[in-house]
Amino acid sequence: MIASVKAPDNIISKLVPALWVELKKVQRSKTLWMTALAFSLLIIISGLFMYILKDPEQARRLGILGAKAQIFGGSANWPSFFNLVLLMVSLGGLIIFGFIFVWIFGREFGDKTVYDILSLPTPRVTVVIAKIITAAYWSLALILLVFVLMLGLGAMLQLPEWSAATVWNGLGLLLGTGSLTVLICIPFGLVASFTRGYLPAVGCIFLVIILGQVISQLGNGQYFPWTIPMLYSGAAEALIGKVTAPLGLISYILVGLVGAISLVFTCGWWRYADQT
Amino acid sequence: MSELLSITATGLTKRFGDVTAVNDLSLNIHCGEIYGFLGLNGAGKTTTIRMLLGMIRPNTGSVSLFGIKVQPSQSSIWQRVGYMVETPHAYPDLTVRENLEITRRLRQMSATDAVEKIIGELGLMPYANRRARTLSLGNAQRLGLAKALIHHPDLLLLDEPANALDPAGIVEIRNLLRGLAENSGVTIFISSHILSEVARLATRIGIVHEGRLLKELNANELAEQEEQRLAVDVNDTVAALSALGKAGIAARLDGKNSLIITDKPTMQHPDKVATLLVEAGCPPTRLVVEQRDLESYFLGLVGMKEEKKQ
Repeated sequence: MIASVKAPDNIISKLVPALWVELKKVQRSKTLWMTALAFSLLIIISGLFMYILKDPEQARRLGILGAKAQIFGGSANWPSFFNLVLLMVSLGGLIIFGFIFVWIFGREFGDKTVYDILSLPTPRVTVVIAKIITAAYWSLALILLVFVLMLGLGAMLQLPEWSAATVWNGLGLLLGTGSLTVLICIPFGLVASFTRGYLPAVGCIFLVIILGQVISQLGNGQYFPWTIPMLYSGAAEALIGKVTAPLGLISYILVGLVGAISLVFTCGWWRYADQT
Repeated sequence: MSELLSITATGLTKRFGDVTAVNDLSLNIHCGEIYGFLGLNGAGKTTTIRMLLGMIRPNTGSVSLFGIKVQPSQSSIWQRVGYMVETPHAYPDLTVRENLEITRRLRQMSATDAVEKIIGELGLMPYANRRARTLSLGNAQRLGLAKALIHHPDLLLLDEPANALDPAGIVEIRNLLRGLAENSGVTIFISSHILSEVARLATRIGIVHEGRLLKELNANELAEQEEQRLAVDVNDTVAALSALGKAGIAARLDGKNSLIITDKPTMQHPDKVATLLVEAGCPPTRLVVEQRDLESYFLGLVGMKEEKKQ
């Protein structure tokens, strides 16, 4: 009866189909395009600020928008553009990447498809790992979209102070900020699983943003994992001169621990919790 | 021994807080059987099926499928099992074909034509490229069955599979399941709250109520439960009971003005009962031979009052 069912030899041969499945679900969802649009808007707004800063007369004509643009830095050039984009990514990334993790896990409960993936030859832990890899891939693909879009906008605006070093350094910071943000967003997938839906997990995203603001104001942002990507990007310091404590090894360890612990707990929850 | 039994459940108990959903339930389902798991809503059917599928861990007891204990480390066991739990759901943005392709890949199947085959077998070809969100409830049910059957399982666990199907669809699915059991030796465990539906298909029936397995019957025993009885309405039940008793006919009171006679020889001559009662001065106002159906038997078994026949 089971002639057409093959026994996979190793974990990779089980992971590959699970990854295909997750990517297919993402590919066919509107959420993919919504997140791309959201990030694109952030970059277009950053480009608009650069445009205003480049032409002070235009900035004055625009009134309040011009005044706000001044807050983020005084000059329109490639280093400032990178810093502004880094600020946008570190702020927006927590929300958008967080939503990606919430959606990838929460949709199984929202669409009630969770029961279809529980009693299969593909182990539940493999499904969870495929989901996390997909969310990370999706998030980092958005970072690359940001990079390409800002290069195009910067070139259109003919921003000065272009150099290969600036671009490579900016790309490195974008990917670094994105990777740290991915790690601190894994817990939102756990919350979406545990609460079997979207809303409580989305609430958690906003809770950590508020907590991050408070803890940063108290000068302890380097010990709160959800503010560390922004501190790592250095954007706030570069743009508005806000001096923050330098990140030490402990900060990176904390981010790593949040990612690792939430991964273990998510796998454990899917493997052992009752699916009523 | 293990391959003779598809399902072995021993002493399953599941509590949710103060509520005991399943209480010390044991099952032995043989290979090739069609086992109807019958119970009212909330009787514990779905919780039991989820325990059989390893989705819920019992507080006590254990489940083995084909002799292998169901536990998180035994995911390969599901290669032989197909299932559909309650109302089937699918990824709404994906087509029927894509939803089945997802199932094929997660089931680690090498046969790339499996999706097209099951689409054909379940009559889903006209809907193959339609997004799941646009399917009618009946076709969504077919898609759920297609996902359960795509890998030609040895054991099929179906929770209320006739829900939402129209009468033609119910007959079609019934024939499909019967064919699977008869031609391919597939063991089918099917839960339902509709006795007549289960009775038409199952070779054995287990009746569950308040989490306990009350009774198991095979198909012949079930047929015997479709008993007859003679219902007699009279104005003076005391006089009627006395007259019948003097004639050696056992009767019992059923309601204010009704008597029930289940004695088979008497039931074959209702005219004699009528004559007897007329001569005793308490003529019947209504006299009818009733067929006690399976639903009545079932409701009687689970302790619910039978609906009085009109």
